[in-house]
Amino acid sequence: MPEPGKILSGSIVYKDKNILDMTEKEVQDLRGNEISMIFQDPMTALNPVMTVGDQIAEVILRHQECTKAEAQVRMLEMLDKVGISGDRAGDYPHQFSGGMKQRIIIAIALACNPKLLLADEPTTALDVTIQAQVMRMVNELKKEFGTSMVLITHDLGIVAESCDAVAIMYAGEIVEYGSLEDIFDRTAHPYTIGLFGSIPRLDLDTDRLQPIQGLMPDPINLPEGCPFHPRCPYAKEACRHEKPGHAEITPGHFVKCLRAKEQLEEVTGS
Amino acid sequence: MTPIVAVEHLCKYFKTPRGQLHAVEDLSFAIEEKTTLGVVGESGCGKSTLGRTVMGLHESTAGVLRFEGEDVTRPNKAQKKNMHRQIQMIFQDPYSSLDPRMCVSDLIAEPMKAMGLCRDKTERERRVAELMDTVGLSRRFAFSYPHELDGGRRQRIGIARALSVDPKFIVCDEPVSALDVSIQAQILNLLQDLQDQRGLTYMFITHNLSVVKHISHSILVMYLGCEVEMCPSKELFKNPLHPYTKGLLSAIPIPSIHVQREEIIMKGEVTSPINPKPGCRFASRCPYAEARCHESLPAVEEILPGHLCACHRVREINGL
Amino acid sequence: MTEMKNTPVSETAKDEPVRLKKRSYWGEVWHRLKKNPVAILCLCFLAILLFGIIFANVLSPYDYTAQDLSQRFQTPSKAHWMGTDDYGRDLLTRVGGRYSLLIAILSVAIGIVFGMIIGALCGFFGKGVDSVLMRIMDVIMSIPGMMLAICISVALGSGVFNTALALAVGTIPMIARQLRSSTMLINGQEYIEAARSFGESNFKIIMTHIIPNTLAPIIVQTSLYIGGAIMGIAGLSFLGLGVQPPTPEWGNILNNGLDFVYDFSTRWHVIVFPALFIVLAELAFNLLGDGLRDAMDPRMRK
Repeated sequence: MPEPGKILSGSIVYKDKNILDMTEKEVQDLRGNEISMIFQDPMTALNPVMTVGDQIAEVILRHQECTKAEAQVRMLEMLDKVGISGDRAGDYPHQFSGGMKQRIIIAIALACNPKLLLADEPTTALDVTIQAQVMRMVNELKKEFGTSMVLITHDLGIVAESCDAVAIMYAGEIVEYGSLEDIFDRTAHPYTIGLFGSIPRLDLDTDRLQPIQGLMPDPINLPEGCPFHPRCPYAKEACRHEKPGHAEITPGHFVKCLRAKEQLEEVTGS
Repeated sequence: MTPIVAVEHLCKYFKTPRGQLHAVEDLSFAIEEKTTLGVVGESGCGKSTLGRTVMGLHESTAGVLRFEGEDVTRPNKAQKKNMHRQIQMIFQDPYSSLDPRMCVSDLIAEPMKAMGLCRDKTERERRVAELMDTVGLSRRFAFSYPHELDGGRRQRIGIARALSVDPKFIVCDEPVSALDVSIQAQILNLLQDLQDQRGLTYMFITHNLSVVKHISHSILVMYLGCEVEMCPSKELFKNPLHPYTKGLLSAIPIPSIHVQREEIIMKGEVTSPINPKPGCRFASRCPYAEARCHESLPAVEEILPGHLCACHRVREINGL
Repeated sequence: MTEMKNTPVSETAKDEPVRLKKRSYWGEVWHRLKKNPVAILCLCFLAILLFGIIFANVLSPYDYTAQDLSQRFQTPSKAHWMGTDDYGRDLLTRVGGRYSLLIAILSVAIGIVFGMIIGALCGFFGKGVDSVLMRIMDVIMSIPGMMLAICISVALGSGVFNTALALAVGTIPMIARQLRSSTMLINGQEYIEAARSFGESNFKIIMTHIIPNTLAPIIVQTSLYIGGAIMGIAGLSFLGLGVQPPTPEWGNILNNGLDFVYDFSTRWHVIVFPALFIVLAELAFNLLGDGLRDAMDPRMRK
């Protein structure tokens, strides 16, 4: 197993405060209370020997000053919000199906009214029909609680439906960042273009997919210059050596690509 | 023309401590040569069991299985041998479907050895190299072990193994579900190319409707072991008849910000296939269910030309 | 987009390990084992030991039964590298004598072969075969190992092969149990199903997929069993059932030596050398077992 990562530089600013400068105690108070997380695998994220009601109440008791009775009330409220009847609070995780477990995890994540929700592939392990139920619920609760969300996913369909801004990552870097329209309609980075070409579409008839050539680079041994250049159909000599910086091609739409930067310079130059 | 594979009223039940598990219930379909039948359904709908029963890995409980017109439900030795050669399978998990102690060339040669084909060693080696070229796997990996390769390359090994005995029919059980999107597209293109070049017939099992739309000529939708709808691929996406298919299609998020999908959110979750209640399996989640849906299992009917559907109320719902 | 190729993607990445020469599976194992100096050292030690044991009568000028009462309790010298024992017999000839290790290896070999066959059958076929064979194994396991060995020894009489067999019967169920569970685990893997889909026979599947994949833990256990067998032989010999004096055997040499260590400063060699050999042999088997386990797993390849 590799060692857990160390943050070498940079900052994580939450409400004008750098989380990296906080003490462990402060971060713990933040975690689960103001910032909470939904995990990918609902099968392993719950404690199998504790009833789901207790697991939800535990988070509430830890972060909010309230009595056990109040926590119980809040717990039942949360179960109701995620569409599980209150009389199942005494059941154990194995008595629930995958979709139900993910609902419980969402209930735990939202129990303390967090300001920020980190959802790491929340529906990858679920069937499509259940995914649709869960995503709809998440979006509704997000609105109701006024929560911001960081949704990590590989499914561009979910992005199109639930997000406002998109960051496309490749080999540890954000290669393109912009609003939903920027990414879906004014796609600029060759990697993002390649992603769209790779997915079979329900709304379009394509005879042949246009996959990105080659494989993901080894993160221990990244290529020099632009990390995408070995797979990029537009790669030029310069891409091998020069690491591209962010170019803001339209306001709020950032692209890490030399080609996009050149095109931008041509436009502004002429 | 006789279809290459035909299945008539196929049933497969398993005995479990909690009762009889109806994995496949009264399925009938036929696959024409050089076409792809997509089998779609959610997890636990029996699609993998169906694939394995067609492969001969499970013995069917009832029904008839025909291969090239010949009844092979209870195959004799010669038929079995022929089936092993003509029907191959590509497995879902490229990690557990390859023996970690065998190198790539041995893995690819294994089916040939098992069937006593290509006994000559140099001939076999030449064939392995050829197959590696065919599936786009560099020859320098011939002596690598599976754990040294990524998922896409492993799946290429799986495909090369299946091709090694020149089968006519390949059952693909979720061959791209474990792969990244960009690799998934590479493998799908490869499968299509192979079909064109070699005239292969596929049965493509997946839960991913976008993938199945892309690769299949006709599609079979399954729900809890039962056939729900079957028709040519284009027709299914243009004109789904069964309420389950409609719900399934509307549940798929579309990667475009211009398409507004119609939202039919299905209530509840898949019920248990163990000792199922009489009546339509989908009734408990169906927005159109009425009394008779809970009483008898609807028969599969040809509602439109070439478009089969199993639903009591299909005509009412679709205004036909 | 048009620049992207549509044909199967050509292989251009340079980051994967490349090998050119092809070896058989066991050739590969040997190749990996060679890179492990500890394992090789152990292998050499055991090879020398085995060589010495097999050719003891040629290598040593003494007979292991030849008594010379005038030479009792000699400390190590040029003539007697390990000194002599209470009857003036050359200790090196006796310790290097052939039986302990041979019986131990033989008994473990019998145990492994039968244990593996039974375990693989149970794990692979399950159901009836499993129930019947495993109940028999349970019965054997319920009898204390030493007691079982004594009973069999009494029934069969003493002697090298009989002693080996007596000890082997006790190890069969342990190996069978272990192999049964690992077989069941591997039986659920898709590559077994894949092999079935090629029409591979059950026998071939067991031999080419199941056994190689279950062998690693067994190999490690083997070294422990050999140690156990050496002790078992000593025990049986002590009771007069195993190998009979004057035939040398580590256990009985050590036992015998124990009677004379009241004068440790002049007679230390009568117990230090046999004990040292037992410990070294055991250690060598252990380390070699570890090395073999790693060598047999291609995933350990660097």
